[in-house]
Amino acid sequence: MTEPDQREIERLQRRVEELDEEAALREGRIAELIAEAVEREGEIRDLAAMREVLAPSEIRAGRDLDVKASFTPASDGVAGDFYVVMPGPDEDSTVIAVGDVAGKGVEAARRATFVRTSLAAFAQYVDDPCRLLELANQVLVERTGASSVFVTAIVVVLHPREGRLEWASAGHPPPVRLDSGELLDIRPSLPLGIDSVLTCRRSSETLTAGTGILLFTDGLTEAHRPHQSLFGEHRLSEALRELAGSASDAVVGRLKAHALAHAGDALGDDLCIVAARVNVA
Amino acid sequence: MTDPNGRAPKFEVVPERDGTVATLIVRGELDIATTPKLEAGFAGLEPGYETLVVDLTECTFFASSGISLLLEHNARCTEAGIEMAIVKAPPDVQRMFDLLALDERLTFVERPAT
Repeated sequence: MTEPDQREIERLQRRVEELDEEAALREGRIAELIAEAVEREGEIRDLAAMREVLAPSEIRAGRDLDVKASFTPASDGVAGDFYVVMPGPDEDSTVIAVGDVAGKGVEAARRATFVRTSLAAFAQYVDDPCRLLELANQVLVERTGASSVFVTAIVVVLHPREGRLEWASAGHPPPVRLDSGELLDIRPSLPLGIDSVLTCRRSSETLTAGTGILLFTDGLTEAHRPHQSLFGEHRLSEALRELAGSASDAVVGRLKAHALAHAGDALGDDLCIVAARVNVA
Repeated sequence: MTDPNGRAPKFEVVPERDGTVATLIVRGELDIATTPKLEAGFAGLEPGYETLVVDLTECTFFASSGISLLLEHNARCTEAGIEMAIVKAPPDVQRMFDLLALDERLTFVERPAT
């Protein structure tokens, strides 16, 4: 073994030791945080699991789609928005869901977690957006009881090869078309978790190559400075028209910047934005 | 929205009573921080009312935590045989109630002409 090799090995060994130390420190810090939280809430195991589940997730969209999602927590902590982007049961479909829980705190996070988990679990077997919302509602009410701490959710199933999308909403704002800024016609249903029976209405729309949609939580349309006007659907549509033709990444980034600017850089609520566009072959 | 002195109006819940009709006037911005004031408003209602009006005419923001409260109090009213009506909020605030399809659960009325 030459001397430089020997030095390199020693250097690497030192680096490994450093990394071990860092990891131990980080683990120590996590343990501290957990201990603090146990004291505060007595429910840390639930909370840690919920944070994990609600955290921004990997996007698994079909190859014919350009999907970008962004999640920005409220300036005073996470309120419980979430998104899911994953393949549907048949290879060509992609399921996108976005949701939002009423209020903040452990109970709110727990209910959001149930909904996100069920939607992600069922999406690989069910591609009817209404059925997905009904299942999520059923699980939520069975496991946590009907409650006024409701969860709004929208599920969109994209079938780019067939040139269409299907969607349903449980109390959630409707999708908006990219480029034109047109709000899809909504037939609202009650949010999830209020009643054991969900009367859900499914809508179908065209989705041709090059076109796309935007899903969001009310952190976008309700972004505002205290006592000032809300960002609103009108400004959202206008912003989308200005962004006509942009890639999903740019759309999501610009809209987030708009919301932050409108709110004076202090978001009162979580902000979740998902843009999906069908690639031109 | 500021008053002539440029100050932001504060959030307030003002109770009014006219015989068996109780009214809660909700003014300003109901967010997570001010939600307890609405809760206190409901709790502080003098019993004996047969109709409860929650007036959102001057409400500039209404967070979902407040909607949960409305649903809870509405359920209590229904149980007690009390009618609860909500005077609609300004359009951009009312839009959220429409999206939630809450007219299935809550009774909304237009602001009476004065």
